[in-house]
This record gives sequence, structure tokens and C-alpha cells, in this order.
Amino acid sequence: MSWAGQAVIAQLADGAELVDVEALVRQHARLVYRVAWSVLRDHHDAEDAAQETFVRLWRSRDQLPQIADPRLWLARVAWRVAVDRVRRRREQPLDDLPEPLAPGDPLDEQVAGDQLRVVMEELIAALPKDMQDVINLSAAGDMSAAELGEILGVAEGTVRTRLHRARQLLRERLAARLERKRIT
Amino acid sequence: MSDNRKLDDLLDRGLREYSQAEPRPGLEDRILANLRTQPEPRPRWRIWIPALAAAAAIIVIVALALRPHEQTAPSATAKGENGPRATSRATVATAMPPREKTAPHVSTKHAPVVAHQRRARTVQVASTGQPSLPRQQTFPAPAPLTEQEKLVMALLRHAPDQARQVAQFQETERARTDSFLRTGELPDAPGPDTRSPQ
Repeated sequence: MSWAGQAVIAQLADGAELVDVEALVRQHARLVYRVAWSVLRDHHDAEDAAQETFVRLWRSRDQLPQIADPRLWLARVAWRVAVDRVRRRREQPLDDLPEPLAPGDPLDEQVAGDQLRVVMEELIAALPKDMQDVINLSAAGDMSAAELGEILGVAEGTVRTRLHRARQLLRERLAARLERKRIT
Repeated sequence: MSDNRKLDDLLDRGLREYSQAEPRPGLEDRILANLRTQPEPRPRWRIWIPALAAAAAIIVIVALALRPHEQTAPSATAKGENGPRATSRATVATAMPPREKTAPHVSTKHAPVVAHQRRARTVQVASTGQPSLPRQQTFPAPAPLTEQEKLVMALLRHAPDQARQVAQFQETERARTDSFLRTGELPDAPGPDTRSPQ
């Protein structure tokens, strides 16, 4: 096997089928990155995780024909790579912590721009771990509940239940936070 | 109602903001460039080569260790004349009783038994080691006469008296030689028989 031209062709051992790895990279790199970012919440770490995901794909390319859905396979590998990287993290740097809201701002202004994102990160970080996983992964890409269940290793119904419950909690806590801001 | 609606919209917008993460441009090219630097993965069957070699070595060692210690007999087909000897060795090996390890010395009481066993073994070797010859009708087998025997026969036919005298002389000389060997003295030689036949 050699890298002939721009095409990254992985020829199978039996030579019966060709798998265009480059096409997989072009097609799914963004999804892989977003899945990794949803867990790691850091651009550099997410890109490293995406690189590692495709390196794993390259090393096991002779098994690609056995993979029914390469997109789902890549998302699952990216998820696991990112989770492993989170586990290896000793402690979270202080500058990655979300910044608190500025008191006294009107609701629309409070949640405008980047601050809304910071609020959501705080609220999601406070969710139970299984709900965090579902929310993070569902936000990463356009994946169905069944695909999320495949990646997370749970049933589709469980995914739907967790998503519904997570959204309910987020809504309640967001409302409570806005109410506190109004009172103060 | 409007607050709930507004809250739902805010939540949806917040989740979109939360999940909004785009990679830097050129992510695909960087990934492909990284893949080009990856070493060529070895075929899966090559991974098993060291394991198979080790397994084969272990099998050979175990087979050599478990092989029974046999004396290698020379091949009868390779050398035809060694065939009976090899057969006799094998017969002796199977006929020999197991050696007693707990009795380092052989007592005199069992000595005749051991000697008998050794003799029996020797007889068995002699009987089985040599091929049996056909039994002859007359022994020794008739053979052509030598030149000296022919001269003696001619002398007996033509001069029997002289032949008798020669025989007596030889007898007397043999007796003198034996006496000399026993006593160290040489007896006097008898005079020639001057008797003439009547």
C-alpha cells in the first residue's frame, strides 16, 4: 500500500474492495471534531482527539468493510477518545471555567452573546453525568436518538428519556436563574 | 405563556450556542497530513509469526524431552551383513533381566545363578547370532589329497615295509622329543632297523 497522489486508498487484504479513507476524512472530520469538542470543550484537545480518531481508522482500515456505518463508527470512536482524554485530565485549568454573569443586566442583555453560552455550560455541567452525555452528544451533530444510543451504549428509549429529562432540568434551572436575577 | 415560550426559545438558543463549535479551517488537510506520517501497519498475519515460531520451538523441545530413549539399531537394509548381528543385540536386550539397582554387589549365594544366566545368554547369543549350517553326511568333508598325502599313499602301495619303518621312526622321534621336553635329556637314538624282511 502506498499513498499514490492525493487519494488515500486502503486496499484490503483480499484486494476485493477499496476503501477511500480520504473520502471518510473529508466527509466526517467535522462531525468527529464536534463530538470530541462536546466532551472536551477545548479546540486544541478536540482537534487532537479528531486526529487520533482518524489514526485509529487508518490502522484498522482492513476492518472497515465490516463496519456497517462508518459515520457512526467514527462518532463512537471520537466519543471514546474524548472521554479517555477527559479522564486523563488531572484538573481543569482555571481559565476554562465559565465566567459568572454580570449582575443587574436585563434578561435579554444578560443572556446575549457569549454569556448565554456560559450560562448553558454552567447549567449543563450541573446535570447528572448520563444527562450531560446525552446533551453533549446530541448537540454535536445531527444524530438520531438511535445513533446516540449506539454511541453511548444505551437503548434508544433511554436516550429519549434522558434528553427529555435533561431539557426539563435545564429549563427549570434557567428559569430559576433568570428569576433570581430579576429579584436582585 | 409568553414567558414560557420565551424561556423555551432562550433554551433552544442556548443549546445552539453551547454546541456551536467549528474547527479551524483546514482540519481535513491536517488530518490527512498526519495520516501520511503514520507508519504502514503490518499485516495481521505477520503479528502471529513470532507467536507461531515460539509455539513451534516449544513443541519441538517438548517432543524431544518426551521421546523414549532407544538404542538406535543399525539398519539391516543399509548393511546386509550386519543384519543378524543387530537382531542378536535386540534379542539380548530383550532377554536380559532388569538390573537390580538396590543390590550393588552379588553375593556368592547368587553367583551360580548369575553365571548360569550369563551362560544362557551366551548360548542364546551363539544360537541366535550365527546362522545354522546344513548338517553334512560325512565329517570331515571329503577333500582332494595334498601332494604329501599323495606321496605317502604311493609309498604305501609300492614299498609298504619302508613305509612301516618310516612310521616307526617317526614314532620313536616323537617319543624322544617328548622325553627331552619333560626331562631335558635327549635319549639315545635307536639304531636303524637292520632287520630285513623275511
